[in-house]
Amino acid sequence: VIDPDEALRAYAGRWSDTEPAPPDLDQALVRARRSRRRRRPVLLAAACTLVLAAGLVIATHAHPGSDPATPPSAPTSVSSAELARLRQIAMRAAVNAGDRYASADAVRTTVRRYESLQNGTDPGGADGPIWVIQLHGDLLVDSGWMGPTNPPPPGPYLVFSVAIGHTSTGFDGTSRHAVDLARLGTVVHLLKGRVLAPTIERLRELATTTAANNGDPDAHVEAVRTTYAAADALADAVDPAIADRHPVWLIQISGDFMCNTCRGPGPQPRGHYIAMTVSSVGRGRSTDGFFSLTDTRLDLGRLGRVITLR
Amino acid sequence: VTSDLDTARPTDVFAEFVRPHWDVMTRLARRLAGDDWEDVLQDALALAWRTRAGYDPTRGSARTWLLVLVTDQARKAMRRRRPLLELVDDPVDSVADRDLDMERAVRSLPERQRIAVELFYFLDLPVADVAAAMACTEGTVKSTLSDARGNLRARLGGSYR
Repeated sequence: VIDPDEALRAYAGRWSDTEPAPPDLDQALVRARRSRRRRRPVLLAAACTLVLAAGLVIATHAHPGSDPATPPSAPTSVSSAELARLRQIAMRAAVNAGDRYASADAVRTTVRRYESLQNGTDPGGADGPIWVIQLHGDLLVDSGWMGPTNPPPPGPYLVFSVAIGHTSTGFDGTSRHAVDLARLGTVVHLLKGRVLAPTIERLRELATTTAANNGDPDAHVEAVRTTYAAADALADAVDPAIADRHPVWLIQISGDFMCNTCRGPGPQPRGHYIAMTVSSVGRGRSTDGFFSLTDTRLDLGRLGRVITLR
Repeated sequence: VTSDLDTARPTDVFAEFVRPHWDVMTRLARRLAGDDWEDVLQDALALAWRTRAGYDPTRGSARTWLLVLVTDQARKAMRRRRPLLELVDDPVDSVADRDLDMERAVRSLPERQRIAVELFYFLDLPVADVAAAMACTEGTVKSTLSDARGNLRARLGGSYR
């Protein structure tokens, strides 16, 4: 049992111990003073931007058939160093989203071109070169999300952008649908991905053992990656307000079962469906899961992409 | 020093005004703004420089004033940017994994709860100073912190009680 107050103090202490020295105040102050003087050039730059934007609008209207998301004809040339950096970013994002074996593709484009593809219209405003990276796997983002839905729905695709020369990312959330990166330019394959990841093998082994222990070694097994709260709500519909967003796998085993480990008065419970949660693999987390044996089949498809394990 | 903060002040006097609080400003920017912390810190300093004539020492300490500026700039940055997927190293042990969970849980708190947590736990400010920085009473800070801890319990689940 961990007290959040103590845990916060302990973590804050560890965070402070690793904190680097603050930046030089005098240099920062020089920049602060310059920022005041820069107002006039900024206004001038803004005026120039407006003129250019107006010209762009006129040019776009002069060619009504033009598609702002049309890719450039020239192929993308990527240095090996840039490719390595992108692969590292994609791998970290995949690990953070719970599937280190996700595949990843990238395309070099601009902010406005990407926004145009996403929204169907050119948003105008500032532009700049970016990489758009798309992951495909069993992805789930359980925190760090500030969108309208909380948490975002799980989905097999995750798209984010990386500014050229920076590591910060603009993140668009998980989705059930892929973004057609080819419309933005030449697609670069970053991570190949794997289908039979060790995670899947572990789940399959666990489910097979559970099925055999409960009397049906030939059972059908499927799983979906979700949160504990969502799994609990789907399985029990008792307390959908549970806010435990730990990522878990919800496994459903279909067969003819008798609970061999249940203890209590009366006959051993029987049923055709076992539902159980397993903590997300690869995060070293222990989650209080549940195990149920009933005759009610759960519609796992409501929670995300269903994987058939056996 | 603070009573002389006006537009005619030399830069070095302003620097000495800020210097005792520069470290805590930096820490707050790092906590609240993630990768954007340098921009947030710089913007807050620039704003402090531009508005130094408006600083009223009778309404609060210099530290509180500067922290409010950092918080405001961080809030703007949070609302301006897209939601971020934090790129962190893969945790290699249970403590690092637990810290990662805590960090994510803190970042997912509602804005005021998160600011209260950052000021109280990570900047180690007393409740009175947190109240001054958040422009509310000490009782409100305590209840906000209590709500935040409740939210963290729910978010972290498992053995957090």
